[in-house]
Amino acid sequence: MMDIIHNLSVGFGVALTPSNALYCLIGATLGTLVGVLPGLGPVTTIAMLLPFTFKLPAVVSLIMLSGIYYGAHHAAATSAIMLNMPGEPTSVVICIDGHPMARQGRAGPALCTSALSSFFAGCVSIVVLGLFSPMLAAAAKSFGSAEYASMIVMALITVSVISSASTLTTISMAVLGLVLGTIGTDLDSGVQRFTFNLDNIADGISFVALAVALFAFASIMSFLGPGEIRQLISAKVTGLFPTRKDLAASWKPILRGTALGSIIGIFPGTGPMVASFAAYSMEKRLAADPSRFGNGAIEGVAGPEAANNASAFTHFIPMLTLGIPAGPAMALMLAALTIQGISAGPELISKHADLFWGVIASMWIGNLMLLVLNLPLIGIWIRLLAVPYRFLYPVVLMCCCVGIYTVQSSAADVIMAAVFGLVGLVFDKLRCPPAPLILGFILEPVLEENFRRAMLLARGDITTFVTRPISLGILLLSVALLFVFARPKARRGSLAAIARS
Amino acid sequence: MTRFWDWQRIAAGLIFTAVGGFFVLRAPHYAMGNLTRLGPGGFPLLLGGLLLILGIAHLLTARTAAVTVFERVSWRVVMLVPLSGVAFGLTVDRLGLVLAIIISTAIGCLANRRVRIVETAILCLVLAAFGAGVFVYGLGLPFSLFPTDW
Repeated sequence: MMDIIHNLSVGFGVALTPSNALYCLIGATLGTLVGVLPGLGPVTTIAMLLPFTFKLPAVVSLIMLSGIYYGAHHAAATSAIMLNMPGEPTSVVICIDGHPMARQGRAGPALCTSALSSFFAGCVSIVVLGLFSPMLAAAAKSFGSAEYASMIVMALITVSVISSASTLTTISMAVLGLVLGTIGTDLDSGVQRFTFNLDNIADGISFVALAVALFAFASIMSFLGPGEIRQLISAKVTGLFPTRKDLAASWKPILRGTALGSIIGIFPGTGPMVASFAAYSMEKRLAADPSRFGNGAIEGVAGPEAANNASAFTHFIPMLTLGIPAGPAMALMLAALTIQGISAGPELISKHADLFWGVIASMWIGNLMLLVLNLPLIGIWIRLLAVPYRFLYPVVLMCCCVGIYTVQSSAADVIMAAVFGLVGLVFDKLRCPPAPLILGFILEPVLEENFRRAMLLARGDITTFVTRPISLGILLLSVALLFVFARPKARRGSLAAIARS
Repeated sequence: MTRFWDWQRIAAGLIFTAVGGFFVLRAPHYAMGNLTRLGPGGFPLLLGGLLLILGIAHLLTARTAAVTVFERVSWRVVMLVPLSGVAFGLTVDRLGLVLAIIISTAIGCLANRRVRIVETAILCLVLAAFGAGVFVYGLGLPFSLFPTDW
């Protein structure tokens, strides 16, 4: 316990330096901005800004990028409540009860409840992050190559099964990402694989180019496609504060949502989307009168919003302690660390203690900033909802082009990303989600390295993955996940459909 | 019950099969090694084979109860958004950042259904100024602003 206090004081020392606090504020503000604006999400924004953080010190870039991430999760409820349009997919469920509340003239209490539950969930789950990470890192130090390889397989399976698309398709996308990851120089032998003497892929396909193509170019195209549909229900929010009755109804859902979200976020592959859906169905099941749900029940905002934000923070745990990102945004942050020359994994906390605890402390500060950004300043963000997408996407396009170019001063990378964007759009239209692909792509070198080393250690005996107990346990868990999650997919699909209608 | 072909699934399956097949055929060009010591071709062969199987599984399960509904694609968007990026890539080295931003933004803005000429012109200029100010003067990125050799 004394350790934690000591570590946190080191962390606050790092996070509170003026420049780090400033980058935290920039990150949180940008996150709020992109969280509020539909069509521009944290993954797009992080992909777009990733190249510009390469010149910053590692801790600064991680502070800013994580600010964007949790800021967006915090603010995404705003457009869900006001526009019935989730700022992020993770706040789809907030639409179900948040928007009816706004229609009944109770937008203020809905926004306030969501901000307060986000803040509370954030504060608690950051502590979970600080307490749990060192424990997991210590456990992971005993992992051998076989365990590591199995762990990566589990992360890829989890991220595939939680998607609402067909499990067969999402797993194929993950394998496709792995296949694309083999392109480039083989780490072990130095042989150039599948590069066809093309200079700009000699070191592999540029991660930034691929991420920008899939999450920026393709998403602009799919968002521009149907044309602009925007209906702001009322730009004026009166009476921000919830009534006593609202508070009495929401404190228990907030506690439950926080607990559920913190736990779900820890598992590699899951994350805020699963957490908010799970919290919503839990609240509905526990409610005395479930029929109120869908008609503006405040529990339907408080619980999922707490779960969403709690898991947004604990989502960092597998990335920081195992080097296994649990979702596309974490894959981008892992890339940010890797390019800085810092390898995320069990050694990160001990080797880069100031970075780890500095980022955790900055999250606390950022969470406080978000409360200010989201409550007193809520009017500004609501007005921003009226900014048309036609002004927004050219800015994104320009930042993407400049960003990709700066990675290795390569104009060819920009052209490649633009063309990959088309591929991304094709996948979008074929109901093939890009998240498993990007995860597979970034994890391929680690998976291959550990797979080959495990085979070497076991003298070519492939059963090593099922005879080592921890590895077997992880693989069994993955298979169980496949069966448990592949079934109720239809039901979750219908929940999303209700949210959209 | 009537069953229909799920064309999206078939198309996705064909893509996976093709990519997987390509890697399976191509991987043996590199040293395979043995199971104890895998060569550079071993792991790609394994992954390519897996993708090939998954692709074929898509084709075998492509019968559904519902008719495939294709979302409408706006060709204008599909052509012009990537073209905007390509234009940036083709021009930035020779014409400098300012012109590259103006050209790519102008093309990008055309992707919108209703093109507003004055608005687009203003946006181009604002973004060029913003790009030059933030990226070159602010962040010190190594771009030449204007055409270098005429």
